[in-house]
Amino acid sequence: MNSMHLLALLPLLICCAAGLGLLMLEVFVKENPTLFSGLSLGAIAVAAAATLANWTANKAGFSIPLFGGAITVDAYSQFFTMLLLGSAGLTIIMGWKYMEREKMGHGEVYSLLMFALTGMLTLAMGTNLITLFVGVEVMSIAIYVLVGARRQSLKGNEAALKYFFLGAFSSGILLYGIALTYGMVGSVQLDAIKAFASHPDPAKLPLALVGLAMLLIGMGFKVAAAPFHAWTPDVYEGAPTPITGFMATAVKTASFAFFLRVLGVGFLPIKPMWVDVVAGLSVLTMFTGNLLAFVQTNIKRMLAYSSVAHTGYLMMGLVALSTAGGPGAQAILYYLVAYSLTNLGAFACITFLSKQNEKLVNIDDFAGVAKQYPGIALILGICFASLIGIPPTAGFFGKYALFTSVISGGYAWLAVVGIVNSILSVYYYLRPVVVMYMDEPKNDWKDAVGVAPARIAGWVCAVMLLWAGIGSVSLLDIVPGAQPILSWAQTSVASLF
Amino acid sequence: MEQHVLSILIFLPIVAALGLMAMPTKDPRAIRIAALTASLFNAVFALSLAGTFVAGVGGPQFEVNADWLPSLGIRYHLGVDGLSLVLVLITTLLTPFAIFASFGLIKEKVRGYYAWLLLLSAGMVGAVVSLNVFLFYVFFELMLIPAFFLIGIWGGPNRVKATVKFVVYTIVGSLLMFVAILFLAYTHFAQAGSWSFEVQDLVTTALTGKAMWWAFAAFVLAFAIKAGLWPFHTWAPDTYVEAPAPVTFLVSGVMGKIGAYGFLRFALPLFPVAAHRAQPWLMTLALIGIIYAAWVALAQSDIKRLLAYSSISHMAVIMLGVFALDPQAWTGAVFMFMAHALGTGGLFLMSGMLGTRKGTEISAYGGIAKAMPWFTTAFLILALASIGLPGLNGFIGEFLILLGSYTSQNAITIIATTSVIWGACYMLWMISRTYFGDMKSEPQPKNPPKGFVPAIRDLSLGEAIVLVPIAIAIIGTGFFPQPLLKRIDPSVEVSLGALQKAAGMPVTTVEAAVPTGAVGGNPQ
Repeated sequence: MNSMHLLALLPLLICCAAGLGLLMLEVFVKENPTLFSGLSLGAIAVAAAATLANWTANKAGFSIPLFGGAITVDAYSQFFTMLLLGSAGLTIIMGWKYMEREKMGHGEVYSLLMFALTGMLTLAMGTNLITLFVGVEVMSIAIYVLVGARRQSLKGNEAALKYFFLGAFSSGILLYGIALTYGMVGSVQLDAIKAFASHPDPAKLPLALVGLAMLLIGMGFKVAAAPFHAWTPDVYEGAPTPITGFMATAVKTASFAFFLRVLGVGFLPIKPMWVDVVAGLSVLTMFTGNLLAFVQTNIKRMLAYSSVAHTGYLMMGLVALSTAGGPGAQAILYYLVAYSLTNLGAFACITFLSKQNEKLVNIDDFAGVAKQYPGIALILGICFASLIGIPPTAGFFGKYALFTSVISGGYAWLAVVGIVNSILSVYYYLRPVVVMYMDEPKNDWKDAVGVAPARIAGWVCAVMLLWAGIGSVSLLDIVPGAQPILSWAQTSVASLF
Repeated sequence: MEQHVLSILIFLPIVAALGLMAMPTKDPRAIRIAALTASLFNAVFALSLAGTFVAGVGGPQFEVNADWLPSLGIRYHLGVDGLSLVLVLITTLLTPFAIFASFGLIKEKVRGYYAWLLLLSAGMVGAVVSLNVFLFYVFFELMLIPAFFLIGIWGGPNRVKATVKFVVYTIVGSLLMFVAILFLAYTHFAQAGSWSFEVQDLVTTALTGKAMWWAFAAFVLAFAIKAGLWPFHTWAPDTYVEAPAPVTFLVSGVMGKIGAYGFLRFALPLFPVAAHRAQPWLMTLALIGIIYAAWVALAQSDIKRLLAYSSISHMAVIMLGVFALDPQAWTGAVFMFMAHALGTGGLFLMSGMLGTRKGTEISAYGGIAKAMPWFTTAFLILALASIGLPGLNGFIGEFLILLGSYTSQNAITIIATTSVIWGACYMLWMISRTYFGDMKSEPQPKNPPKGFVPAIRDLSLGEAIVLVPIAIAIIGTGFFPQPLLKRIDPSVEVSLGALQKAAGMPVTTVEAAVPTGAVGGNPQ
């Protein structure tokens, strides 16, 4: 291991060290969200700087295998590292004052966030099923605790318990799938699986496929694909709002990094055997999410079902994967950026508007927000436009990328199903906008000012959303436009195939 | 300057809208003046564009063609030709009227209202001058957002229901069209090896079989909904009635035309074979729309609702001309864009003025012509133009459309011609009940208190400022259609000629398209 390897691994090490450090610090400092947020943000910034330094130190198509190929630092993992670090940073900013208000500003919350981030980065880098499983567990266990971080809240406890039991169950299935795959392939390395799949041994293939099916179930649970989505609404509702935002974005991003790596590298040669299953799951997921989102009155539950629906859209990209690289993977990467920005923006606004103990999170409570907080209403409006896919937002461009990729892959019918689902979603995404702009105010958000950093996070997301939808270049070299993100995604995906 | 004029027309209102949002809300007067000034500047730019527009050239002029997202074939490509010139002019020239007419109507949240109105204008101009399908789609969707807020916040009592219906309806069509656009672009990629969303590239991309029909159907659906073609018109009456009158003026006057324009520019030229084969069916839909909407209009007791159905009926006449695939009919349809925007749009504005008097129910009025002579005169001019009285501009459009349609589908056209009769029936009947006959007793206080405004009053100065130019334009273009027609014709010849050739139809020339002398006072 030389200094180059250390630099490549640095983001992971920093997150892990920060988690441990914050845990130690909690012994001396009781409740101080400002200190803990600052320290976590600092660690994230250093990790991001290390990622960028590694990016510039290497050529575009680099690939650094570490620990005997258990993890690989390549353009693909770097893309996800940056996206995950960004999501975590925005989560911490939006949760800053929230944690203070909800009396949650303990070191352990931030420590758990950093541990979750460590697991996610492992998922982005892992090229070995066991490493990936460790990543899943490190991430999930931290999240189980974070969901129940409001110890006095009944709903929070219920959500944590539910998520834990179902999560443990799905981890078991995932592990069983890994075991079966190992049994048939003789290795847990994705490369070895790829070699096996290229020339499958007819005697071993059936059981390997059973292994793959179980892997699909396990991964489907993590990304909240129907019919494994049932935990989503309760957990999203019960979790503290910034954590919900974190789950909707970072957890899903990391899980898709895993999903895409396993299907796109390991099992790509036998794509004809799983593609119809994934396409079917995608259709089912889209319809389930969109139809159930219709009847929700709580905005967090509504966004939970919306996140299920978006999982369905993202899975369309998996269908469009191909050996030639294919635009499918690239579209997934772009869509994850768009989706993360959109949901973080929306959850930042909800954090801003909610009152202590998760009050005022029903859609009807948002009546007349536009009068009192035109800025917040505007950010939420932009986020919902992006969720529908109305130009000029990133959500629109993401849909463009995804739909084009499935059409190019010969699945035009899937694009039509996707667009029918977008149409279904218009109504429930419009409802909060209608309520905010066209109803008379019912509530007073006087103490909302206390969570002002959430507003900053919201604005950051809104500006980036708009520019990522139309920009052909990066704005001031900081805010990436559509074209730069897409080219970046293209380079990242190239390191996969 | 000259190559930037189209960009200015799009981005000046956007910048102005952002500027408005930075102004203090305390001074609504300043906001109104600023919005009006911005729109007037835009109108002047549009007039200078019309002044330098070269008649007799079929292709696009004032072209801008810059990279946007180059690897995807998405370009910032603008241009204006005879088909779009009329729409650019009515959008930019009518916006100041809409803004001015709002002065007395909009008292709440003034700043947001004018900002959205300017953005609406920007979106419509952008959609009309885009020559890249992707860019067009962006603007086509963008103009929906301002309309959504304008109707939903400043509309009538059922505004929320109306605006949600409007948005959901239009988005259903446009999203399906989006898939069709992507499919078409991919087919071009598969055939040519590079991505392109340019209209001139996609026209050469031939889809066949089922794929062609599905893609064509998606385009037809999107534009038919936007244009309010039967049976996709049901959003229109609610929207037109609930929207504030100046917004109805723009939405019915311009946005509906963009649906018809979409057929001329995209849906028909991109799928010539399908267009030719579907022609009888599409013309039948237009015919049903003409008759159905006119009959429904006969039964209305509310002036605004009657005008909404009248507008749908007239839009169907335009669509009949569009589907006729005949140069005369196309020229007539494009001319009718303008005539309909001025005539029906102006009537919507006047219904808003009636709304500030005694509402828009016909039964609330009767015999008011004596008390409001100027108001009645203006209303009559607009109504007669909308019916198609010779000498006013509505006649020229309808005449050309019916003449052109007759050569392609004579049976349908003969039935469609009865629209003139139905139009006269509902319009004149409404006018006679509202303006003529016995005057309803109007209790006037003996000694009116200071500042008392009688319910029945003639045109105010502000109202006259809006209506007089519209009336002049109606009469002017009615007697002198030639300057406009000779700018429309060459582009029709180019677009339609290519379409007819690709569809294997006999190519007709436009020579006979311009009626000479028949219209009266035509200096040739």
